[in-house]
Amino acid sequence: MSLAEFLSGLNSVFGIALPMVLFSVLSAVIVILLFAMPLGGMCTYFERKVAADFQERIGPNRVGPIGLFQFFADGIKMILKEDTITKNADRFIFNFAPSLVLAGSLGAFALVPFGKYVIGADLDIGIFYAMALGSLVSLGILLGAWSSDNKWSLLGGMRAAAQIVSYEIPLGIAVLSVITVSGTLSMQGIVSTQAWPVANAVDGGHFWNVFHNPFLMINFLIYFIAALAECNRTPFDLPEAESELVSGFNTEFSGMRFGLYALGEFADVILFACIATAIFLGGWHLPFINFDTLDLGLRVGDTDLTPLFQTILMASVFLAKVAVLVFVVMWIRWTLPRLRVDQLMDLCWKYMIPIGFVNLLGCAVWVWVFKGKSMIQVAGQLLGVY
Amino acid sequence: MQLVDFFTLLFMLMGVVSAVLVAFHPNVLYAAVALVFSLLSVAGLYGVLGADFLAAVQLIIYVGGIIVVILFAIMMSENIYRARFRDAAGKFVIPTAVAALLIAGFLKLFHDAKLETRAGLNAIPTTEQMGRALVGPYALVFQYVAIVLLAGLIGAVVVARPHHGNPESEAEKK
Amino acid sequence: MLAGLSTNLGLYLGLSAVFFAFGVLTVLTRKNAVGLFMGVELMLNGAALNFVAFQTFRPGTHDSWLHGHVFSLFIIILAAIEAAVALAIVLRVFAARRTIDPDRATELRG
Repeated sequence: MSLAEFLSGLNSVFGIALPMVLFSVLSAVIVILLFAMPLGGMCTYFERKVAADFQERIGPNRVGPIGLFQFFADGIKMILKEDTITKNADRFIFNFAPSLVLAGSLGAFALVPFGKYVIGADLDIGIFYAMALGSLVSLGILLGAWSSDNKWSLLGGMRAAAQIVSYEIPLGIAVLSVITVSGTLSMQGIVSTQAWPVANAVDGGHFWNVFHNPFLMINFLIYFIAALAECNRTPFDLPEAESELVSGFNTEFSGMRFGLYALGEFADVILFACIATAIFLGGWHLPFINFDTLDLGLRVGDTDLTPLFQTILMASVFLAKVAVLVFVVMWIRWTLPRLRVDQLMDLCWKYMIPIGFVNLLGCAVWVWVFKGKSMIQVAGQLLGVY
Repeated sequence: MQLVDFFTLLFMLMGVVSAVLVAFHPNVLYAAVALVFSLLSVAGLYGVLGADFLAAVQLIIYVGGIIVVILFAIMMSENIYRARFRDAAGKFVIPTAVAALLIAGFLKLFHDAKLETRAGLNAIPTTEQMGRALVGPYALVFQYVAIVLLAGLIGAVVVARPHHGNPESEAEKK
Repeated sequence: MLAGLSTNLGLYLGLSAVFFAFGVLTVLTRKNAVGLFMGVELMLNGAALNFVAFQTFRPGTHDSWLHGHVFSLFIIILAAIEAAVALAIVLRVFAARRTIDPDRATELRG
């Protein structure tokens, strides 16, 4: 599907002739209210719980059962807080920059395949487009930092922009090596090649891309490290290093504007976990089971409920994988210390990019030598399973 | 009314307004922000015209790369802690006349050319064709561009880093 | 009134002409080297849009080679190289002269 097709398809999905502007505003509001806010809120809650566990504390436990509704309280507090603007701030950019950050990370969620039938837009350039939208984030951070008229903010913003631009290269290389293997940019296409291999069947794939070949395993690590840096998470949280820069680029932001930055960061983490799941960890695919051909025999009268249950199963498997990745991100945050700026750039330019390129070449050679078969398929052939 | 037409109108208006702002806004930083919007509108029009791959390339290279570098250059090429990035008003009359003449000339040209319209746009994904074109008929150009890119990057690094032993850069350190 | 807006070649060409003209205007009026550079980017975008529009409306021979798209891609890539080199030069000039007004960095003028 191309972008133009997607645009003309929107008319037919929503048969009612809604005024177009209203429609786009509404969909954005719905996405933010129903998806980003609760997800980001849950993330802050889990982050605090995980942190508490690591530090042998109890963590939030007052609002609701085991503190589950803490994020409602946090959200209400954030909205009710006084909205301050620095005296010499550049008002226009100050107001508009935080939304760029959120737009960048939320827009890309349309490309995330939660299930075989659950995807916002299965564009032909899927993964590439998701990465391109993410580039709005660095712009939002840099502009917001500059506009708040604060030295710490500006330093943090410049660090963030330099870091994000640099780490986009290893990220791109890692994604490119996946594309070498799957031969498509479309998210659904990439996921569908990662099914459990079955004998003489078109449905079967080559199993998860991480286990496709040794080079891709290393490139998965590179993707993960680069994604951490893209989200400004520890150990790469130099842009908001508390001990040096107060709070970095968001120092002067308060109330809901700060909320947008915080939400944007969590949305970014979830987005990168989703993309990692989709392109490396097989999306909704599990070993030994193929959900596409799974027949549960569930029928109510004449209606076959199988597609519904398939979708629910797929989405839960996908979200479980995402949750594990997000947990690892939090785990790293409360375990590793922060890098120095020079170490950050050394790691990117002297280690990750050369290693990534070697692995990209390795992937290409593997695909050429083994005709695109994965380690598991090659082993299966040798053992005579397939 | 098709949604595609609505978006085309939106992107075109956005493009024209932001192009005007790039040229006339007294604050260079705001001009850069306006440039972001004109680049976004071009990316949107690429999407409408069925050039998805180019739309993504436009976003990732221009918005994610070039604009960030431009903002860096603007912020670092002035005393940022007091700068408002005012651009001194130059001579506007003659350049505006030149621009107006250019636009008028182009529009006359297009009007006289009796350009056709089409019933519908080709919306089939072109990503695969693009890939085949880049490694097929355009392989040599592609390699050449890669070499130019490498040379340009090395050149930029060499130009931007301080020259040791150069009296000028010694003065910078003080 | 809006119907057929997206299928009118003249509109795309007109927009690219506007981009080009305002790019020229920016280059002529700005007193800031980075501002000049933004004008150049605007001109390049106008040209690239032209290529893509013609590819869509008048593909010509060897349609599947996507001449217009590939040409625009190369324009974008070369613009990226240009950005890197130009802004490196801007930073050097600023380090040496404390200004990036192109009218005042004229030491090499013959």
